[in-house]
Amino acid sequence: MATNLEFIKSASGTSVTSLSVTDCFSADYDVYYVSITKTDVTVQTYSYVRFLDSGGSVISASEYDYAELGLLSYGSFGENKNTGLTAIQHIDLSGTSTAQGIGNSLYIFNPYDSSSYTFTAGQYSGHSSSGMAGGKNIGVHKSAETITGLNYLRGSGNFDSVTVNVFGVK
Amino acid sequence: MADDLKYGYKGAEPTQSFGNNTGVFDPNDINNLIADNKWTQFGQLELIETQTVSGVSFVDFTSIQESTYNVHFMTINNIDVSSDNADMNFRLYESGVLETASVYQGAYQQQWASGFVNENKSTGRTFLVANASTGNDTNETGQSYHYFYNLGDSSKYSFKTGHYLQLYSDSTMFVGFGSGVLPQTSTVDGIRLYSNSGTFSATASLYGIRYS
Repeated sequence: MATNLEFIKSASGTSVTSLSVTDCFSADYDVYYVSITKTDVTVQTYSYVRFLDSGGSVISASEYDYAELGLLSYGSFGENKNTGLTAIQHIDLSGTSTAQGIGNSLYIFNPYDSSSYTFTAGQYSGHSSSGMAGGKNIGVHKSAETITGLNYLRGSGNFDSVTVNVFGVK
Repeated sequence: MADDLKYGYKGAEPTQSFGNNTGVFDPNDINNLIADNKWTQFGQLELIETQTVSGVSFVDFTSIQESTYNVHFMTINNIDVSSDNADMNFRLYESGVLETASVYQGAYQQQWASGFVNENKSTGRTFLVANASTGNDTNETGQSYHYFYNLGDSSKYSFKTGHYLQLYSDSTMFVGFGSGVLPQTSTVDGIRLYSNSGTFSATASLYGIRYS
């Protein structure tokens, strides 16, 4: 039965440096939608994402590439990109006010397929101390292995509170 | 539901929630659990309303169920404007009052098939961008999709991301993608889609993403 989005799992944390959503990927879906709408952070900076391997451990090897076009209401747009990183960077950006975080839609492709890299494509709207800060981003985990979950973290500082929701796309 | 046999259990009742329904259910049980948002049923992209309009200057979505959905998704199809290069924009209702002040912010990257690229951005607009300049000749139409975030959360700003494409007045295709925000901690309970010049025809569908 075609059922469009199927809710899989939600995870929340308070006063954490990162949040893992475990066992959210499976053979049931090839494409996943991740919504992040509730973040409250201690430092104004970008968020990153990493993945969990088949044993549930965070993959922190230098196996991630990303590229983002940063979209600022108050300044010039900028390309941010790099390869061989320990996380996919620039998933979103928000300031330290509770009101400023956030709207983030992130799609993840083929995480559970052990013969494929895992790809991401996302868009977000956040708010810094200067104004609206949005972006459109892509990323890849360049290791063909089974990915079972994700780890959402900050480039600096902590989450005072955070919630991540994962859906399968049918 | 049967008071002495809730979901097939006597004594302590199991906690019912999405993905964790336990017991024997009759149709009334299921209906009650659906009403309480505790029944496991897939299909979390839920159509709220589709409106097909013609010859109007605006269309309002006023029953957006903002307390149910953290994320709303809108598709706009076959935008046909009466004025050449008219823009399609959004304004938001805060507790029933349309916000028209220069308080919206946005940033959109736009690229023409001819190669021209520009940055469409502002820190003080009266609108959020839906679609940009669309020609009014035959087949010069616009299409787009948009995500809205935290509309019903009065502790958060109301954010938007989206992607739009259309044919310009010289029939050149151009695309835009980007982000916007209403940086006010308010309860947004309605969305207006309008043309900044003349009238338009379009089909717009608003969805809610449950558990988002």
